[in-house]
Amino acid sequence: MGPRATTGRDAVVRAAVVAAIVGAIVLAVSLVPAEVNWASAFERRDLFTRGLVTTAAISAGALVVGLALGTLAGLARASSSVALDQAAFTYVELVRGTPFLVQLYVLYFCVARAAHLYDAFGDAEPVLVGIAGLGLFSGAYVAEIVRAGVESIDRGQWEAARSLGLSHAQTLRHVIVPQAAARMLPPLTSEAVSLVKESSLLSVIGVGELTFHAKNLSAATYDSFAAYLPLAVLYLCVTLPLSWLTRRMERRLAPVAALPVARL
Amino acid sequence: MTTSNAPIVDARGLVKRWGAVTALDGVDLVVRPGEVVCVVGPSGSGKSTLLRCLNGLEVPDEGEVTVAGAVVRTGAPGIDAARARTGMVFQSFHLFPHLTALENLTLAPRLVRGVPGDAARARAHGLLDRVGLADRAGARPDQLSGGQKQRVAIARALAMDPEVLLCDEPTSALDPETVGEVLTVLRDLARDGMTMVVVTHEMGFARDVSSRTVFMDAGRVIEEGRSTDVFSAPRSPRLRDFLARVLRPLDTEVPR
Repeated sequence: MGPRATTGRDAVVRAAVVAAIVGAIVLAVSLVPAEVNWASAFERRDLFTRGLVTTAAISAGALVVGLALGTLAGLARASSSVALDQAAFTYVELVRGTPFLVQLYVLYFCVARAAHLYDAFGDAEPVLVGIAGLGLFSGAYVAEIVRAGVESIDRGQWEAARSLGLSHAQTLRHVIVPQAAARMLPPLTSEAVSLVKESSLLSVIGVGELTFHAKNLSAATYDSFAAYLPLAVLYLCVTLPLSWLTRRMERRLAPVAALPVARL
Repeated sequence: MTTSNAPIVDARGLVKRWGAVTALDGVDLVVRPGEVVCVVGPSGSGKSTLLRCLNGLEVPDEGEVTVAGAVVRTGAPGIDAARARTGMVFQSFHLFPHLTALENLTLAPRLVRGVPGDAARARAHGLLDRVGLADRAGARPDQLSGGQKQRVAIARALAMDPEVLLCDEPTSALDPETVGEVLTVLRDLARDGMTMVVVTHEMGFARDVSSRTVFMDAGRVIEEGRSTDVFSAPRSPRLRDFLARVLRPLDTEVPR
């Protein structure tokens, strides 16, 4: 996280640097020898709109699945049961040890096929597999955030609660998790940003999200620039506000850590 | 409360090793109703480990602890009930920072004993009054001074009506000017008949308030007896040496 702008002069410098970088990118694009047909891309803007809506919907669905799975797995890792801990650990390691693209192939081309999901869900199959896959993937990272949040709470809190006669589960529920939740919020928001970006991979199993439509547009118009540059901008429109939200929460939670770097 | 003179705390043959270090090397401790026992000794002598074995926060490698007749065994089904009968006061308070002072007191009675909210709150107000903090019921721990935090922590332990109150260096983390308010609360509890085991470096408290003092060194009980006797006529050279260093620090020779 960058230091916070403290003076008006700092803010001007920051704005100028951002403007320079964006300007350089625009200049580089305008220098491309090929003709970029922005008009044809603009005519098909509904493709982008539909894609964006699908991306948002799938990301939201996967986030719900990921939060639910991740919270369960994270608490299992912090539970007093060795079996639950190991089950959750295995899940996390399997997911984190393989690329999401490979997980998607396995889920869609192996699991979904073997289970004949198409017969049950028809054309909704890729979307459902996509949400499940993305949620399963994200859940592993959420689990680690939850576990780290629980472990970040001072051991003395456990000792005080258990000394009063609270059980392990009561201590988690009433003492540890309420304190850990606030600390988990910034990394969870950051995980949501990752999830939105990972959702672009669902295009390979035919989910009609943003990247899928941009690819089709590029293939139809032979104009990669007019298809993929707006695509990048649209992802930034979703992820930048979320990142901003993360930084705000981090500042509120740790005002000391958010002090500007000393420029000596 | 136990009416007979049967021990409330009965610890037998406690041994606790940390790797090569033996923190407890065969310690017995019997505490009867109404007794106030102070455990004193140099750092690393095993005082805190002994105290933490009494409610199962540490698991002794050998020996057994019973509190009010029930065996304290960490990980066994009865451990939560056993711990609910032993109040614990920590050096660093360990109040629940997300709860108000009042909620710190009501949490365990409601969850563990199923006391209804109104009854728990009424009793908590009474206990906060008893430790002189009736007006701070709605304060969060970070709004309280160290001495106030420790008094809330004492009231929190009392809210479970423990058979015995275990205090682990209750004033060691306090600013000097707030030590007195905590010691006064503990003294008043002692006068009201509360059974207590207090690990402390406050020799004045041990001498004047406790009925019995246990001196530990290197994981063993070196000497124990009526507090007046222990302080006025220490028998063992190690206790005499310890008391000299603690009570007259400026006479201590600098170790070479």
